[in-house]
Amino acid sequence: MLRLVISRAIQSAGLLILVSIVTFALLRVAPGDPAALLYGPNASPKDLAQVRERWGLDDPIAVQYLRWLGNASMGDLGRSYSDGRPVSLAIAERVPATLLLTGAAAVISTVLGIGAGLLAARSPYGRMDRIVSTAATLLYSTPPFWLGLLLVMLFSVHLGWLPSGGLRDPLAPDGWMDLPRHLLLPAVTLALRDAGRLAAVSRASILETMGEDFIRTAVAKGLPPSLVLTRHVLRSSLLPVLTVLGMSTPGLLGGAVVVETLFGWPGMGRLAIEAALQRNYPVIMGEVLVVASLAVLGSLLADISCALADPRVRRQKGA
Amino acid sequence: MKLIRVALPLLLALSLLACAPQQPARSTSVVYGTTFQPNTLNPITAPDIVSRSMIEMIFDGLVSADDRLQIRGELATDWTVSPDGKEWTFHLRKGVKWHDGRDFTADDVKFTYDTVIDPNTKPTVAKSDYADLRQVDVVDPYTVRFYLSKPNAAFLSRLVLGIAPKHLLEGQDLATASFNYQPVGTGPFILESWSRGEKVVLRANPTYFGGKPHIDQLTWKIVPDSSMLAIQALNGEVDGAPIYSPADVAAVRSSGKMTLYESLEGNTQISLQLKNPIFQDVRVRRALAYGIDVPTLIDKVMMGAAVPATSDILPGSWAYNPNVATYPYNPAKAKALLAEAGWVQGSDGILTKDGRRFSISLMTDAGHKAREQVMMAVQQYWADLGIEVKVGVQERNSFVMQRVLKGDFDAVLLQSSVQIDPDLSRRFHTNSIQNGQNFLNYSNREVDRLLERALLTSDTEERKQSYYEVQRTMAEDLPQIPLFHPKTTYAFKPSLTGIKPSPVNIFWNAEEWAWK
Repeated sequence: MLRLVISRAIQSAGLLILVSIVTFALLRVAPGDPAALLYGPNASPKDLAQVRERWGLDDPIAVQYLRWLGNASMGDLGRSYSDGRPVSLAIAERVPATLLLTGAAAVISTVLGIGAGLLAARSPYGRMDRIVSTAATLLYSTPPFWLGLLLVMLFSVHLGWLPSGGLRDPLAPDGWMDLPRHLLLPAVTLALRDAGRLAAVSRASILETMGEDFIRTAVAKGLPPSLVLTRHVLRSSLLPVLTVLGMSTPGLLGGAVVVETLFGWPGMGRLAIEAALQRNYPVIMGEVLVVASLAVLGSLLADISCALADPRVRRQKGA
Repeated sequence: MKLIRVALPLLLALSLLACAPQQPARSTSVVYGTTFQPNTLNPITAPDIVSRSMIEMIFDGLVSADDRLQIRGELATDWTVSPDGKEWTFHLRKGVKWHDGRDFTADDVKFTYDTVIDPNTKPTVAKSDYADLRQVDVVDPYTVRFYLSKPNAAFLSRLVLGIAPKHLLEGQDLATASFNYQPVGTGPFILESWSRGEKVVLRANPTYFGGKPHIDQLTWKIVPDSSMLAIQALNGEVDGAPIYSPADVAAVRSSGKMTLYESLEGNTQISLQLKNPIFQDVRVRRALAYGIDVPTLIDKVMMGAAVPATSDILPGSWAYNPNVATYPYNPAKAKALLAEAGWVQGSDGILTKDGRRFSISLMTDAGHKAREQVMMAVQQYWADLGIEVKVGVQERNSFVMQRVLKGDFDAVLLQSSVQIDPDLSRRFHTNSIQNGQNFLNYSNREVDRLLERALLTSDTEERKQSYYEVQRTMAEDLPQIPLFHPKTTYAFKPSLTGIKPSPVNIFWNAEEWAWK
């Protein structure tokens, strides 16, 4: 077990460095000058040259990268080009909103997805199964932007039940119901796609497990169906589901960009878009590092929980 | 058991929907929706227009511009200019206090402008805008004198720059000072809080010299998607917002729930690269103008949300000349002019002259659907004349830096930004060619002379005469083909009064807004 963790940690560090190099190179290659973007076409070339020099943009690329890497490894992600504040602060203040959103979406998609998969697996190829499977496929292939707009049109514009965007009501942010009401639509929008995928995967996994001999034994023993389900079927069929959950962590962080923009949710996805449009290199690098780290961590956690859930995996890795 | 397991979550969910938050009295606060957010709130360094529009509420300048782009005193009560036009003396308002209670004096003015023109302090707003300012002197605590290197009447319009407090910024590193997000100004509003990506909240300054604003709180709610912004305006979730797409404008208008205000934006025009021999014959340029049906573009592409343009100077401005040559749509005349210039139809239907085909590129920057549609329409109009037009769209930043400012284009569809002062030297004077700002390579000695003359005097009537001539001449010359001024539409709740959108900044008189 320990060896698994250590070897994966080393792999992860290497992966993060690779990601940072590729991102850095791409940023420098992409057209667009951050100074000109910020100061507009009316600024004189002399003004812009001064700003570029201050940001160290005229140094050789390798020097710029090593400077960034050196600082980043000591925890200093630099300062944002747009307002001069530390990048770590700019990112940190957006993290809670994103985690709230993706956390809520993860819970919703897990509950919905596994629940739907269960429903479908109960009567394979029956009516319920067909309904759930079709719905799952539809949801999985629907672009989140369109889905989000649809939900807003229905629940916000026509029914007037929920606000259409933002983190809180700008005038009354302290009502305890305020945040959940604003969270509901974006979280559901974000969750539905993954719920669809989880439903399909868990249905398949459950069906496969249910065909196993040990399940037939349990039923023959006289165990009530609900117990068969919870004690035996679910635990054994969890493996692929956990893998999908782990795989979808970076997706939740990345997919949040579209949902956050649509709903005006002040999270990391929005920060990434704003920084990209402004060529705010330090912020982009900082975000990529943070998101990549989280993705790697998510993947690692998924592997660990698989190892915990399934002794076979543990034994395989020789821990 | 099972019933409870199902019913409980359902009840919880329903309660979420049922409970609306307690609303405080709306009569004293305004929520304005916007897709942009400021970068910094420091007037000396703010580079972009969004930051500056918020800064104008927190800070005051020596002067300010109203909705007709006319200059009035703000922190300055009056001013005099020396006969040679190089010394400007400003008398400052007494009794003005900074938001932290300290007194505003001439020292703050000198500090602000010294910092801007000092080549060693960076970053600041474009120093090139203040290139003519040599020195600023404090004559007494409420009098300040500016020394220019040459007379420049347009300089007055540069003095809308917000004045920053010396006692808080002296010696600070402007790029990283906490002042940038905890500003202290003299303006009608004070920054209360700033949740990045979410909202910026301003509260009224009770001791503002112009009188306390009628609204106690002004909140900028940041809604990055423009269609969502329109939805929030219709829903009443914001009290006011700009409405961007013509379809959304039509929807808001037909709902009848909001009052619509309009202001004009800059000139949407086609700039021609005059180094290209094809464009050097004025008959060709006029033919290109005759070949575009502007009223149809305004009607079909802009859905009526634009007015025809004759130059970069807006119809509401004091310097606008309503009587200049125009080029109403006339393809027959266009073809005749082209033929006169020696262009004949080639075997492939494209005009040729001396073995050279009339084939050009027309580009614009990405992200503006209406502009892209205009570009496609112009391609079609010019194709009808026998001109081959290759269109292209490029991401804004690289487009401006690598194509426009380097002059690397045939024709580009641009939108000029609104300037407070009608001085057109930056774009059209011969001297601006070498620093890239006159990227059309336009050089007309008569226009140069008129532009220079208009800067020598502060007398508005005299300047107006010069600018009238400039507009007349350029309408004949057509270095750029002006198309229209798009209208920006703002939607506000009908009971909010006092709004008078200026082309430069809708918040210029926010202290006068009030709920009925």
